[in-house]
Amino acid sequence: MFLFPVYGRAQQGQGQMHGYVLNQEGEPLIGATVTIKSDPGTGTVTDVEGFFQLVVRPPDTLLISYIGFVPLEYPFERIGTDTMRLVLRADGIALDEVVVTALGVERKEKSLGYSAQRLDASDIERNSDPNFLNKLSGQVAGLQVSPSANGPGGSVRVLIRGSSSLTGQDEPIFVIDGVVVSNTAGNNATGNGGLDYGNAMGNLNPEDIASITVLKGPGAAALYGSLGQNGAIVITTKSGAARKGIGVSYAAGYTVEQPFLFPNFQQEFGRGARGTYTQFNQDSWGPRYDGRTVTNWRGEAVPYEPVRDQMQSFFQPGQSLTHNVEINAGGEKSTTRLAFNSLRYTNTIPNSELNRSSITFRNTARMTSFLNLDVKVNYIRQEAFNRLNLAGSPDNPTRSFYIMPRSVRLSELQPYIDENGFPYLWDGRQTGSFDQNPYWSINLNTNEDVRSRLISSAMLSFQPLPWLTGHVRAGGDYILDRRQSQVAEKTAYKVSPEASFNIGLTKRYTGNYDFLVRAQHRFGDLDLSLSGGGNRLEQRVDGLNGAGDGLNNPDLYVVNNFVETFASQGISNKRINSLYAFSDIGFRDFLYLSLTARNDWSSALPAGNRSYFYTSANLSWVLTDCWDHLLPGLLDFAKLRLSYANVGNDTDPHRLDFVYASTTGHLGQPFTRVPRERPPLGLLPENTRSLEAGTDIRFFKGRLNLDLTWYQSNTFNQIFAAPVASSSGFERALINAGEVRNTGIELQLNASPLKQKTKVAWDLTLNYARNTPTVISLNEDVDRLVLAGSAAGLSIQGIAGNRNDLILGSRVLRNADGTMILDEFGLPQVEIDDGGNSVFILGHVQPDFTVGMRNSFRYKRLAFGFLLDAQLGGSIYSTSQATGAARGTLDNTLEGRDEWYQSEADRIELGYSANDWIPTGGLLVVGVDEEGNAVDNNYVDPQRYWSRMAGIDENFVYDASFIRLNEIFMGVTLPKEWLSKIKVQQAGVNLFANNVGFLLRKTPGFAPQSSFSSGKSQGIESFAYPLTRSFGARLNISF
Amino acid sequence: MKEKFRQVIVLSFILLAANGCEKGFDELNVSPTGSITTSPDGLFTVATQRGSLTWFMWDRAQRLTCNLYAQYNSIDRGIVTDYYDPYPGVFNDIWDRSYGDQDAEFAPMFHCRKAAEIAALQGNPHKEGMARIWNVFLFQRMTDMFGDIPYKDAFTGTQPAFDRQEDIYRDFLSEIKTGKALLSQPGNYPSFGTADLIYQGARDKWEKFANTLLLRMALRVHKVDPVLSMEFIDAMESGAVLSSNDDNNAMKWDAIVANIYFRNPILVTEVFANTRISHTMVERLSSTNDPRLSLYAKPALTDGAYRGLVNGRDALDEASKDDSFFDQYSRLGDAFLKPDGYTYNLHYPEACFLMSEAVLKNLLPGDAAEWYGKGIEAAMQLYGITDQAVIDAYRIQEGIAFDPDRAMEQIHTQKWISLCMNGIEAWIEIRRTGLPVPDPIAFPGSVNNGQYPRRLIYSDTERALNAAQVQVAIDRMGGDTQLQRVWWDVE
Repeated sequence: MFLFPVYGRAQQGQGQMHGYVLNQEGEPLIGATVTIKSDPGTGTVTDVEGFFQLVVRPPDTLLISYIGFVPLEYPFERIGTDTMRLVLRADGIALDEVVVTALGVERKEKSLGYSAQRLDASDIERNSDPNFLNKLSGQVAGLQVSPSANGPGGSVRVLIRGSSSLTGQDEPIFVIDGVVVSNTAGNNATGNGGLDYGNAMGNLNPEDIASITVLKGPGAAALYGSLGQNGAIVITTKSGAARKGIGVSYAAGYTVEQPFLFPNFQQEFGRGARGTYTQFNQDSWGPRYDGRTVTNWRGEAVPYEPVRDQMQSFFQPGQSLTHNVEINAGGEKSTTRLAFNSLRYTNTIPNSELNRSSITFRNTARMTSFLNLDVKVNYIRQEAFNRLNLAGSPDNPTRSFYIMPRSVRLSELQPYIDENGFPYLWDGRQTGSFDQNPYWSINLNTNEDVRSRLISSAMLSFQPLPWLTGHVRAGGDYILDRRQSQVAEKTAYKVSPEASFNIGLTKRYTGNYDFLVRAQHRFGDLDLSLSGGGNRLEQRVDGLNGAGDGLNNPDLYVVNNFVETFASQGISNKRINSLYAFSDIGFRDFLYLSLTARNDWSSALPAGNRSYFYTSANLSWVLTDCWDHLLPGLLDFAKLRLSYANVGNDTDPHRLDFVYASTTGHLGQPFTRVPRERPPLGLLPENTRSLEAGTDIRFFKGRLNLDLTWYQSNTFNQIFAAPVASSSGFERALINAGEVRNTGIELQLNASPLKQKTKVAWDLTLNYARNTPTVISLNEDVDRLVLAGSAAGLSIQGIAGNRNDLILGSRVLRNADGTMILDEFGLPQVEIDDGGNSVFILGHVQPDFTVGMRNSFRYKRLAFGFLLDAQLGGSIYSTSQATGAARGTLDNTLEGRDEWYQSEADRIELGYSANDWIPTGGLLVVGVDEEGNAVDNNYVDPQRYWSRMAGIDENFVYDASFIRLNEIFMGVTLPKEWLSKIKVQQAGVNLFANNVGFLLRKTPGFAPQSSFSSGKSQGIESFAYPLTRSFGARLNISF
Repeated sequence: MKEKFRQVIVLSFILLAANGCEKGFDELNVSPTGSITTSPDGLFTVATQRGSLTWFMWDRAQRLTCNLYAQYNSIDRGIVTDYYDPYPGVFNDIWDRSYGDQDAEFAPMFHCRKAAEIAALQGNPHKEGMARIWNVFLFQRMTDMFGDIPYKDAFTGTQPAFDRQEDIYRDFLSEIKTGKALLSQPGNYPSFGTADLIYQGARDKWEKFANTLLLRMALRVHKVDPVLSMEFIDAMESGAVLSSNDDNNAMKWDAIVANIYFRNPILVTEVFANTRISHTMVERLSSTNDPRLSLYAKPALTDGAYRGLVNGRDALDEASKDDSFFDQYSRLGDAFLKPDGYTYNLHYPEACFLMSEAVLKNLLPGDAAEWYGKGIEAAMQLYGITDQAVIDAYRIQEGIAFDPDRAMEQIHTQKWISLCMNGIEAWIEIRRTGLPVPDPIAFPGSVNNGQYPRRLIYSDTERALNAAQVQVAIDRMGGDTQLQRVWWDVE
């Protein structure tokens, strides 16, 4: 609409110049800064038409800058009396890109002494994945994203540079427009089951995001204090733009999701044991399928033949549909943006869905010449029905399929309930069975939850003097969760036959109040700024939970209808007050030093240790600005960075006292209980010290950019709840001990091998990150810390002198050559060392390095791209594989079955007893006996072999390396000439596919990243749902 | 305007500084859902209820371990503990959930000790005495299962030292003496009342229980240390032991609630449908026309006969042969399955048999035969057999009637029958006396080769998290297998 700016608004005047600042398309740039180069304090910004006026005197040079554009210097000599038309070039090289850093302070990227990486809306919008966190995957060096396995409502775990805290929070904080918001973990799954409610950041409407800056190290996030110990993800949301009239845009996305990675089931042998079919046996060790007629568990005569798609047919395509409508309006004084977004999602499991709607309103207003107000309100409502039961829960259908005899037909499982209300189960039992009919699970043992969330903030910013700026801001994130779940009466796995019910109402509030005052001035060669501010963070949780047992009237799941109800409350309150100051010093625009200091006072720490102070220093040295003629023509830009930071951290509130709790007791007598966690004595704040060095080099006019970072961060005085011996009376003790070090390198390469202005472009982004965690020490008593699982069985542990993500478990007894030492039955056995220990290190969870590669191609209005990501190294233990192997449902258990059954048939025919018979066939197990002599022709029953091997963890630890085609993308924007005729400003269609497939995968029948938990249980797979791929389209149109 | 803003900024600094940056933090960090102080009552309720073994502990300690060793029940598809091989997962549960698990089992010993501590602080000797006596019962069960255990140091640090069983028993003696002295302190102190789920705060009953516990311990150490045994007897001060089934130390279960931790644990674990009455029990009852047979066992599904399943089978082949194989064996009888029934920690019949044995051993005066007869009668009455004619007919028959030459065997066989389903105590007594002799098991297993278990193995988590102290105990005992004998278990 502003394609043709109006000329001739010239107004003659001594030294006064005026003009329009436009982009290459001739559109006005609103809010571009126009300053006098020698006196940056003097200047103005362009108005809604891109117009400015300024008094200039010789020999002043004008400096015109705008985010995302190459700044333009305009010498006085060229300034005429006519209205000028100054065109800024879009900044492909982005040398002076402005990055939103901690506390919302915008800084030139070149002045940063630490690594920060920025993603723009275009990186996020091109794909309609309703959970924006999934889109961070593979895009940022050192940012590790474990995608949700449970649909868009599931948890996505985000880690920057590995895990620093042993048992505490190790995910980065999320900051939206300067306000810290809650990213409460919502995955409560343990090995025995649970639900994934998703982490709170997944609620955000991706279309609201203007840009994301990833502040990786403590150096970058030092100003966030405690919260920034693990880095920060700083999100800037869209605001309205000044324009004539109202802008409306609409985007719709549709995605179909298809499970594609199913377990490695065998299709040759059916139900039974030792080669014999029986009606109710729970295993798949029956005879080879031969088409004979057998009586199935429902008493029907059925052919004994392979049942294909037993599991596949249970699933359905998942679908998601998103709509986004935005209205933009703005003038000189204020801008407004209103966006509405809705998501409807149906899962790949029947009867499971999620709906989300979100409305965002933002208004920025210039109240006076020096006062701006920015107000934002975002309301989100999310309703989910039947989230998937995870891990070892009998209500997890995947578990049912892993254990169900292979010859059971899916059709036999329906109806799932008999006339007396008892389940139909393939083991023929009705009570006391941990087998579960998946149709019973999804239809009767259901759950639902509703989240209402209000994120709001108001910021008053001021600039009373050209050199003085500041703001006062208040932000609140208010979450109300209502979650309920039920287990129907007569559910076979329940010990008591009554129905049970659980409902929880939880209010979470995160409040953030801060102020900042910043003074900056240039003194000759020195560009100096000094800032001071303070912050108060409030975190409050108030939960009320009701549980009920036994229904009065059937099928009515409300608390009132339960025979017994139990109520409980969970409340927590925490406050952190902070004061901070920081200074940025620039010398001749090539050397920048930033110093920060911050003091926190946390209510969660004991009196005397509540206050902690820490500092950081960052140095940036732009070599190319220091020496003008450094490899001219080849090297455009070179910078060295150095950063040191020290960050303190506290813990959760209410952990310092030995307190008694009351619960419902026996026969009306209340119970008083001691705490499960041993309170600490004089807890100190945790402390992270990090050192980071890096370089940023750009060649060939910005067509090749290289960013390299090395870092090391040590976290001391870790606050963690160490599991303690049960003879202490406690489960864990809160202690202050240990040191964890993370060292790594990150590399980011951007290349534009092909670049023509309008026709053809090829952009390549490659990132690589390697992080090595080391537990330097724990405490004097303990050299290992169990992070997940049980110390006696399979677990994830941190061990002093080793890593913090080790997988420990049992292993096969072998001699020095690695040959198995067999027992008297010719079977492998568990290794137990001299100390009676039977758990050994079997691997580690985190990958050795990660790689992401994005390729984008553009030909005229057509764009195409794909994203590959890879993790190499790292392991995962599979509970599913161990279980399926014992049950004989997996394809790796086939070997030797026919031969063994033949050998047994021969034995019986010849009348030998098992002891006198030398098997003539079976599974050949190579090994030596206890004396070290080779055991020849050691044929064993595959069923016995696998039931033994299933109990030895080592056999089910897999290399988790993968190379994945994460995303394919294709987009087209329609020519403006066509659109303008129908009053459409912009329109485009994108097609995309997510999680397309693996180019390398070493895990059989499950995805390498399929941990059931988003917490420390990474590295343990347990009946993960089949991995899905999705295909979708996104249409956007703006008026 | 500019001036105003400067004022606002300066003011906010002043406000923050004046308030102090940690003002109100003390109150803010106080737990909103817990209390710093408490009365001993609710703690003692936990100690008595969970100490009486709720369903999960019952399942692990009794049904899947000691009831197999005592040959009270067997498990249909087999379990390694049935042929005396170790089952670390189950042993871990028994240890970890007795000492520390507060998720479900609530660490009864810890709660009991806290109850005693707080009662002492509040100056209530009666409550303190009861808690100390009950604490001895709980720890005795632990040490008799495992041998050396953390006792004095338990619940103090994170890595408690293990005490020698002998030292623990000596301390039991002094604890019970102290407990009795506290109980008998004159004065009108508030009573536990119904918070004491066992005796409702009745001091006389706790005293009888204390005396019975002393008698039980006197006999337990008699072989290894006759002098100490006499000290236990002396501590009874000629006081009465439990004197009727009304004095039983028992837990009454809730018939109505759905929460399975409040329900009869034997009934709850019947849902697994894989418990069968042991062949040994059925044989011993049926061979003497014991009227308890139909109470202890149910008729088999297939033919209505009372048939027990032998202990110590290698069940693999049988299990896979025929889906209805186990239907020919009797499940547990209704005596144990009453929704509002009891489980017994220490009952009057046991007291009678202890008295009978003590008299035989000349530790106490009295008539061994009479105590034996009383014990049988009380054991019958316990499960509702009140017809004196029936009881007498059983008692006078050949082999049951008291025979001084076979007295020990008779006493222990009758005690074994009376303790049915309390396999922990029965197994301990079989270890001590060898009586009644368990039936040989059919399958020798591969670890203990069919040798009778003398103790349980320490928990793997204790071994992992308290390694140094566990090692001291293991070195002292000469190993950590099921074949090590505990201190009082001398050959």
